[in-house]
Amino acid sequence: MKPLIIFFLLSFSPLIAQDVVIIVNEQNPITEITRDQIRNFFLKNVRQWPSGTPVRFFDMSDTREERRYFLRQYVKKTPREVDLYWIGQKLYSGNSAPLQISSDAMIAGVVSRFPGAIGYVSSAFTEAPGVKKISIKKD
Amino acid sequence: MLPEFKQTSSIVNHIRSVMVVIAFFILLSIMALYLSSLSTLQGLQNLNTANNLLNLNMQIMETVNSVEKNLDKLNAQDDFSERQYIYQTNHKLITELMGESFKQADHYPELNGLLRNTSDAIALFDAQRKMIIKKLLEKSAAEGKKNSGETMAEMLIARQLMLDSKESLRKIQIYIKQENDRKFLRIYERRFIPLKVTGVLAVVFLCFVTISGLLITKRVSKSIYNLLSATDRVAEGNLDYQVSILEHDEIGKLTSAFNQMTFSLKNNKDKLTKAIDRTTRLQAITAAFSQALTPEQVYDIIFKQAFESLGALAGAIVLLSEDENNLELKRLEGQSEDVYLRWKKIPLSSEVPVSQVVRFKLPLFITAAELINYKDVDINNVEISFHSEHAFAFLPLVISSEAFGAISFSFPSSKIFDQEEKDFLMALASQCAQAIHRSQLYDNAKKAIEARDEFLSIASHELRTPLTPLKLQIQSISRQLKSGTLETITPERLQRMAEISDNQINRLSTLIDDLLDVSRITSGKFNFKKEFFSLKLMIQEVLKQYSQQLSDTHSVPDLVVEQDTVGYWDKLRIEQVFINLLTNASKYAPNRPIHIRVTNEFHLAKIKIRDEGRGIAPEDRERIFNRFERVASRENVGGLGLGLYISKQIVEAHQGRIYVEESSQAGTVFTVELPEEKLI
Amino acid sequence: MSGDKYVLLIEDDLDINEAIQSILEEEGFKVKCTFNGREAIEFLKDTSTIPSLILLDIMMPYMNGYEFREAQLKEPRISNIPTIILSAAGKHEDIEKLHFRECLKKPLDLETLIDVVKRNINS
Repeated sequence: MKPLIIFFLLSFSPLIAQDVVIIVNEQNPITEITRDQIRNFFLKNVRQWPSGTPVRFFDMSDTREERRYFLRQYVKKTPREVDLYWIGQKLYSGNSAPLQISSDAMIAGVVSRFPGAIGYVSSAFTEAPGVKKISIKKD
Repeated sequence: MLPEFKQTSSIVNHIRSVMVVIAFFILLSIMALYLSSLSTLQGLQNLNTANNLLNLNMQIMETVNSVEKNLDKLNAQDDFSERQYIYQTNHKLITELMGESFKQADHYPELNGLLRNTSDAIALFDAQRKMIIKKLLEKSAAEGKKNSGETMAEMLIARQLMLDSKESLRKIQIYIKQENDRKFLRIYERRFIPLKVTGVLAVVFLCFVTISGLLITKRVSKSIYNLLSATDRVAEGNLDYQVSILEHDEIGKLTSAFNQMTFSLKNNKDKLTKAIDRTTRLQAITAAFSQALTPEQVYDIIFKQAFESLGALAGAIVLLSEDENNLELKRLEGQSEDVYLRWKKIPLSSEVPVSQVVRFKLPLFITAAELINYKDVDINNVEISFHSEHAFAFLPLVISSEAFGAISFSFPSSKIFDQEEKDFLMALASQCAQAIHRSQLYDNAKKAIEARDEFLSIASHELRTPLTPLKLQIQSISRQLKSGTLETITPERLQRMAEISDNQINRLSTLIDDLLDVSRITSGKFNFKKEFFSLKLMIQEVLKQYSQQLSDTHSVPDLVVEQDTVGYWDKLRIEQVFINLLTNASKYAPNRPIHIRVTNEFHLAKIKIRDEGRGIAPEDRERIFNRFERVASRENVGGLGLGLYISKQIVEAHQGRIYVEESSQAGTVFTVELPEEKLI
Repeated sequence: MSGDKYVLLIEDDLDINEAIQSILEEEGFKVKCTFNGREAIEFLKDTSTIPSLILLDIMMPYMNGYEFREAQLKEPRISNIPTIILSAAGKHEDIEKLHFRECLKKPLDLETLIDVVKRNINS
């Protein structure tokens, strides 16, 4: 029990303010996702869902605090590192950075339109049509 | 003879096959070069295509960028129709460029996926754009120029789609670039392959040409040097040298031809040497012949030559007898005396090689074994066994296309009568014939001269003989006239002197007549005037005419005509013969009867005159018919002894015969035979 | 004339024989006629008185002049008899060899004949 408690302490206590929620299109059959998956989707290392649907990741505007959190938490890169990464990707693989959307509502709206869409919103985001929250699967 | 040459290989064919191989090599080199450059060329082609695709991609990217810019400005603009126009134009352009890209990307199956993604993204974007504009139009109609959040989301989606297409385009670009790099690298890596292929082929080619060239040259030069050394030897005169044939090719053929040439050259040289040798020998013989005067000398030369130069073992010369019915053996060398006696006289008609040669005037070369083909050759004779190891040459002696004799030589049976040998023997025979002919002419001339000299001396002696008493009688009278004692001569003595003188004059005139006849006979001018007459009548006339003379010698003619013949003869000449025989009988057997018989036996008229004198010794019976011969006797009344000679000539000119017959009775019987010639 | 001296004539021709005999007898010589050498040799063998001179013809039957002369020279009794040739042929070597006294050529000249006989018969 003790490690579990430590984990909770470690994960929840500093993130309460800027925590994000991962949302997908509601047609997507999955209910949970690993951090690695999220990272690979974001960095466009993996372009498809296990079902074959193309992945479309929607980013949050870099003006928002949640993005910084997301990047640190899931991608494990600073925003600068991410920018450099995309410059490199643009040259070597042609991949471009995911589209940055400012509001959670807009993110949800866009996600609802693409079957393979995935995005993240602030933890304050409650509910929107066409999208569903999925939980982070523990490694 | 030389072995026949068979060409089993050919230099020309060797060279030809080498040339074919060279041509094949060149063809192979060209093909190898082409194939090795082909991938490079294809790579370059691909590079070009890729370049085009890259260009197209850039244009699409630019157009997409301009569309994006247009999308950014969409909010601010009121007039959508212009925007719409720009979109449509751009979209059209993108679609065209995409189509072009698809076409170009045929060679890149991997690209097709990317292009399809791009084109899908663009299509989705276009649909999104149309929907946005439609919504905007609806909104502007409803809420003025204010953008709602929904529109914003649509715009984001459009932007996302745009992003997708740009991503695809960029991926394409990268792919093409990577592909280009790879291809270029490959071309670059392979840039030396054609050179290497060419080099290797060239080396192989050169090696082949050099080796085959060397091989052929070595072979040919060996044969040629072989032939050259042979020509040197032949040029030095060594005709016996035969070149060995190294290869059965063209030069081998040439060598064989050269050998053939040398061989025939040698043969010709040998023939020439032989011919020169023969000519020299013939010349020597001819020279020797020209020195030879008598037939005996000619025979000596012939046999010397035949034995020394030709290697003959035995030889014989036969000449046609005067009556041309027999061949008389004139000389036999290398044979015994009894052989000489057996073959002394050979009838021309007999079937022996030598008479056949004379009859046909053709030479004959036979072996001892072939002698049995001649039926008159006695096979059991000793000569055959003596000759059994011999080969014979029988050569006619021909002058003015008339054979007058033959030479025969016998050689060891190993003797080969080739054409040259035969020609030489023929030439020898021809020379010999001329020499014999010449010597005969010489002999005849000599004999004629001797005969003439003898004739002249006898004639002068005989003419002087009657002159002696004549002169003495006349001088005696003239002497007595001078001394005036003519009266002392008794009339009887005077009468006797006149008689003697008359006698001498008669003798002289008879002598002159006889001499004229002999001269006619000798010069062949004895002409006959033939007529029909009866022997009986002719004899009776003569007896009547000579009755006085006969009574002077007390000769009593006793004529018996058993059968008279009327013949076609020269009457005066036959009369002369009869008178001659009659007077001879009266001279040599005076005071005795003379028996005359006239008969005819088998168309042969005969006159037989028998005296009762002392006869003629058998050994003299032929001699008396020669010139200047007399049957000596003390009662000889003189005369040249020409009477019987002339008679014989006359009778023989009538194809008759005159001879002294063997007789059991005393005395001599002269017989004259005359063929009963009817009109010719 | 000189008693038993006589000429031996050897000549085969009857007419010549008779003519010479008559002429020499007219000149007073005794003449013995023979008709050939053989007959003459036989005569000489038999006779007691040898002739003083021989007149010899050359061409004769049975034994000619030369043969006679050879036979004569072998016989010492008669070898020295002077012998004169009567020849139609004239002088030649055979005559020289046989040492004839003289040679008379036919036809004979009467004076020469008488002269020669006269000269030789007395020598």
